[in-house]
Amino acid sequence: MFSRREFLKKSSMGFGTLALSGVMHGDLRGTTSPLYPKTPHHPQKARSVIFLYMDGGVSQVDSFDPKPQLAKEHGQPPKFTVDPTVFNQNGNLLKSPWEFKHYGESGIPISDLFPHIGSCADDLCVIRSMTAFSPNHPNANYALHCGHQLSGRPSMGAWVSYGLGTLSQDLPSYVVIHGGQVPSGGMQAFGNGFLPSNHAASVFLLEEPVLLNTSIRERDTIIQKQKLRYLNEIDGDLQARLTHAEAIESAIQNYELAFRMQMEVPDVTDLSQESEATRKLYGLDAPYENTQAYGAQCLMARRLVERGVRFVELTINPGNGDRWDQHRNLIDGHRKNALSVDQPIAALIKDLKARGLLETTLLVFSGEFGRTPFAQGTNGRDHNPQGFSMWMAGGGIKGGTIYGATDEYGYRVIENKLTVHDLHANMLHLLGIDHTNLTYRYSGRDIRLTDVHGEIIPEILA
Amino acid sequence: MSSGTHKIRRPSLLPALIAAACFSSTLAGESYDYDADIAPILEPYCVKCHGPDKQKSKFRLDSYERLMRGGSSEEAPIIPFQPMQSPLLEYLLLPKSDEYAMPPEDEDSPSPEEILKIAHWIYYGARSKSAERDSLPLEELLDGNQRAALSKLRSLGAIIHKRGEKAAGIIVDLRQAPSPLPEQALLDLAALAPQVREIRLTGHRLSNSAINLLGAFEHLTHLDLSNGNFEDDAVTALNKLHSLQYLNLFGASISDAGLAKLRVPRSGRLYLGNTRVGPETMARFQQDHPDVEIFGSVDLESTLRITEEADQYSKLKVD
Repeated sequence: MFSRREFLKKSSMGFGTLALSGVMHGDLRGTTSPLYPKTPHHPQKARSVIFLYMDGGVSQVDSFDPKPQLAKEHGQPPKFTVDPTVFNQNGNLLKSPWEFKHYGESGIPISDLFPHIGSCADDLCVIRSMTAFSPNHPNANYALHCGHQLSGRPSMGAWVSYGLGTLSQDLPSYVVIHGGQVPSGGMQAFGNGFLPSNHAASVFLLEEPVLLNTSIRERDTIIQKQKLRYLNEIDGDLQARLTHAEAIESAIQNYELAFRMQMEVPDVTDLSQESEATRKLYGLDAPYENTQAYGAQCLMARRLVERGVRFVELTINPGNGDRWDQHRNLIDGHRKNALSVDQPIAALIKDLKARGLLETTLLVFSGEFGRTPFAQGTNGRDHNPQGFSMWMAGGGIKGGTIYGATDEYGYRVIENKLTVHDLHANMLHLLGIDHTNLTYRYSGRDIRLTDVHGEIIPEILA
Repeated sequence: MSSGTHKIRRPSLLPALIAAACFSSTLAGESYDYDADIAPILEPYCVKCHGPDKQKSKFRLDSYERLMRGGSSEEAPIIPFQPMQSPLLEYLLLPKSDEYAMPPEDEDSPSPEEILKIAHWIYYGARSKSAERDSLPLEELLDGNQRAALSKLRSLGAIIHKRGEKAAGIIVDLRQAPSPLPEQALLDLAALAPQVREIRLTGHRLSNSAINLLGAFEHLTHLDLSNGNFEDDAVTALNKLHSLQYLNLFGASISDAGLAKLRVPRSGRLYLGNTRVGPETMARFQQDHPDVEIFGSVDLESTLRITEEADQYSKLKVD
């Protein structure tokens, strides 16, 4: 069968001959597309980001911030002032059920929840002084993604797409792989807000169809071509009659990208093209089903980044009781959530490293907040926005480092406090963007992802 | 003294002289240039403590960009057009007894004429011709032939942009261009050689003439030939790439015979995973190139071992 894919390959540069519209004709891959790569402000260390969103909030004292004092005072009432928490069923201090080991030459301590990630310790920069603006999931989630506690602002992936464009003209610049767990606050955490809609996340699913409406319904390409041309005429006509037609323009460009994605998406998401060894590495044959599912996300993320997608975000998979939000069932819930992501994430780091891509791909592992060092009930922890751990790797980050500190219980930050604005500023910095200089005029003022804040932290940069 | 702004407490005659001289149109300051006129003054007096070896106050002034950016202080050292508001000049003009005077008392200082020269340079905008050239948009950096080559390459699907707004070097990403590259595309690419710092040719089939051509990119620091297909013998052409810091041959067709002929990179990183290169040849290359970090295939066995031991990790101690 002479597929459309082959047809397009045979026509020299793909699409010129199809001439779907004036915009597409001749200049399809030209520099006029809003997603064409832009020159960064300064030379970039990271070309792409993979954001590993740990939905619900990982407990810092059970993962990357060991607190021996908790074991000493286990079961006793906290001696420090406890602020009101979400449920306010605050119990006594709860030691970590997991032990910590020192990993790598750097000796970074990581709990037994993450033995695989531990094997990558020398690539990690663990930040133990992260804070959140809100103790509530939706608001903390919006802040982590959009730098603002209320919904409706552009997500960091959208900002990066707006600032840099993307290296693949056949794929979206910002992809969210949806494991099936909708984050608190909804999918709008991945939205474009007031930025042009070309920069919104495209949500890929783990099952067929990976992306809705990408299968070709027409019998042959001629009919599809005619439909698209007609659609374009209508849009073009409207655009010509309106003075401010950004939405129409975005729509036209989105149709064109969708057309190209019909070929590229099935290919990039086809994990059967990977070797047996690679599939094993990511845990696609792991005994625990959720490891397989997250492994598929991580492997897909690598394939997307390899093809030039600028920003990929992974969401966690359901089926572990709950997201990382263990108000109760800490042991079972955290263990299952960790078991799901540990091997796949380590595989991603190792695989990117072998392919020469880790140095240009920034990995960010973070929840929207941490958890309390004291118990909720007997086997749970409430939300803690006052101090928690996250880590970054690759993309110009200084591996094998620990930055910042919480108090001896892991409750409040006492050293080098970070906010989401600082996180975003440093992410943008590594991508070659001056965060004070990436603005969009909306509602009568220039708006930034980092508001009027954000510090670059030389200690975490390689 | 606080670490805030430092006022000149005992002004000498020089500041007044500078202020007066700046308004005199008879001086040559308008044509002063950072590289030609200012760097030669800063180099002998300042760079020892504010350069590659030492960065006192996290400040370096061994390049235009660093000088203008400043160090740990909040304020930029130079305010173009305003010499008397520029902290750099303030430090230079402080009496030597002042703890903030630069260079310090026991070090040689620029002559009054040299300080005047700096003042004039700032008064006329603290310009650097090379930095201004580097800040030009890509199209303006190139000559007519290069512009034509650029647009032809872009129409083939090549992504080409400057490394940064103020960095003249360019990046060429040919992953989405047809493979093998048409002969004309290779010639167009060659036209851009003087500016190109990074080439990505992932997954391409490369003829011997194509590889030979890559040898002409003498300023190339990054070359990505991962998953590429080329003859082992052809790699000798790459040995001319003395600036190379990153050579990615992951999944490429290279074998032992090819690596035995390769002499680059001399330092930096070399990726050889998923190739037919054996461990002995890699070890030999490492021996000859101690400054190169070599990356092989992922060690699947060690990952599987961790998983096996994971059962034991899940045995939890809880009271």
